[in-house]
Amino acid sequence: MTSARKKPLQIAPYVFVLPNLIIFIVFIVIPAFANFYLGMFKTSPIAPPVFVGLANFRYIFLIDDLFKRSLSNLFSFAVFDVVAIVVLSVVIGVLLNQSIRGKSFFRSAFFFPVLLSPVVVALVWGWILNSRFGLLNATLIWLGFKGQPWLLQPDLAKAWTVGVHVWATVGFFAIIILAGLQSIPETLYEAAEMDGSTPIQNFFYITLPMLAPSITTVSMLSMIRAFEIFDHVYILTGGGPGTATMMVVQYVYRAAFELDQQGRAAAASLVLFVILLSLALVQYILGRRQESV
Amino acid sequence: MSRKTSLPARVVIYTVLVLGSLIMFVPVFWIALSSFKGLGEIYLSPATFFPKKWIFSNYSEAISQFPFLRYLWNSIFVTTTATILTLFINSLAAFALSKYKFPGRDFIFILMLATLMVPVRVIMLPVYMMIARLGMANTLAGIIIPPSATPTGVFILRQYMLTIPDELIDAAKIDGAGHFQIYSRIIMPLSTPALAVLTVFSVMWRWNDFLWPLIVINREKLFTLQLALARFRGELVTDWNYVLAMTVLSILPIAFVFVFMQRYLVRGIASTGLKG
Repeated sequence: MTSARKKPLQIAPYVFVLPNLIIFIVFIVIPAFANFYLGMFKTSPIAPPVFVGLANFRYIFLIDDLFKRSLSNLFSFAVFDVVAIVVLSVVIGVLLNQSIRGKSFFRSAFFFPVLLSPVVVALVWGWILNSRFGLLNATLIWLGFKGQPWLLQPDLAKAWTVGVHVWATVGFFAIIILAGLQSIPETLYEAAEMDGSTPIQNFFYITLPMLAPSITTVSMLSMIRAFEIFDHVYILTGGGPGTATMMVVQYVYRAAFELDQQGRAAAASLVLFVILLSLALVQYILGRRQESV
Repeated sequence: MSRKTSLPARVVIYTVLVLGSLIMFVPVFWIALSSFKGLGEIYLSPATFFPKKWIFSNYSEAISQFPFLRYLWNSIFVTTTATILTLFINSLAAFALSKYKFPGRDFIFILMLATLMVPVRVIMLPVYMMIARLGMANTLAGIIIPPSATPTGVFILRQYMLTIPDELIDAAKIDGAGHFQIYSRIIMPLSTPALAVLTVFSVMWRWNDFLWPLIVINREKLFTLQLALARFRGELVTDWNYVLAMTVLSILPIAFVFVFMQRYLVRGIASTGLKG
């Protein structure tokens, strides 16, 4: 059918793409443009929208401390989250790639939280970390230490949002690393061993360089997902204590649906959009460079 | 890998793996155990690990006390209809984009892929306004329809369908098959592996989805399980013994997917980096 035979214009393919295309246009393309438009209006529940140009951006960047705080919370969350995920997924991937017993058991152990909903993950960890009734403090007390207010103290809460998100997602990235490891030709290791290379040398001179494309994928994907973070943190801490763990998506959600500040919500989500778009572009460029090598 | 590892190395490897598995399993295991505790024991400080007294009625009472079955039904309805819709419209589009040559085809394909750059959470407000204008706010259709056309779905199905030989289609045409028959009798049966991967992911996305239902729904009657569970966040006054039982019940379908469909998941992630 893809041959170049002369045919009258067919209607069938247009009919087939139509349902998908309508949904894409109505629920993604139009809203994406509407977002720019919304960002330039001031809305209120009682008055009609007023054109305000870039005032919403000026407001979120210069006047509203909360947006800047959620942006800086998001950046520090993303940095720690991505570093932890890259390091741990490589460690887990390498360990799972050894000739060990119970490989599929261990693989399942690291992978299964990927399937849990963010709501369940956050509820489970909310109980574990509960300062009075939680398992973690009970264990610490049993070992002779003092319990900590894990989610009530800002720095501890920030650390745990990263910890819980890493716990929930690292298995997904370990699978990508594992697939990368399994594509490294065994002959490279055999040759190196004949030259007397140690396992440590193998890791740094063969495994890591050969794994570079997978590590790039993991860093970029985990970064994009970190910047989109909402569910886990919102349910675990509600953005608190205070605003210590409020992220940009929560800021947008709050402005749009709780405070009725649609213009500001749209402006804030455009900032996030620019961040995500730049990350996607970087990923695309890195991907192409790796292909051409 | 078949290379041999030294004994000390093996000790280190197993220690790390066992400790790691404990960190992964224990939190969920403890919650499962706690779902059999009485309310008094749940609010014991410091917490116990195993229930002192096993209370199985948490489950039966959770089901009768909360409109649990309603939430469950809403979740099942959203997950199945959304998955069927996703499979149907994405495979139709993928079929057109892989097996026909028509003006505008490449533009349409690129447009669909470009929407990957615009995750719903970046445009949640205008999408919600669109839903509201179409009268789909506070309806299950409002949850189901907008995310049903997925660029990743179209992409993996199209890549798979490209590998189906055109000769099969030509032969069917000679036998007088129409366009839709070619789709339903030839393309779909041959695309089963790719459809399986998309099914598993769609079920997971939909069952676990939280933010979009949170935006669309505010009538309790229409809550999905995730919304119902999330509502109890941080409330110490609620009957947590029931909530914990509900949490465990909400994991069961996913556990089923995990046991029987793991290979499709792993294949999907390893080959396309599909979001879990």
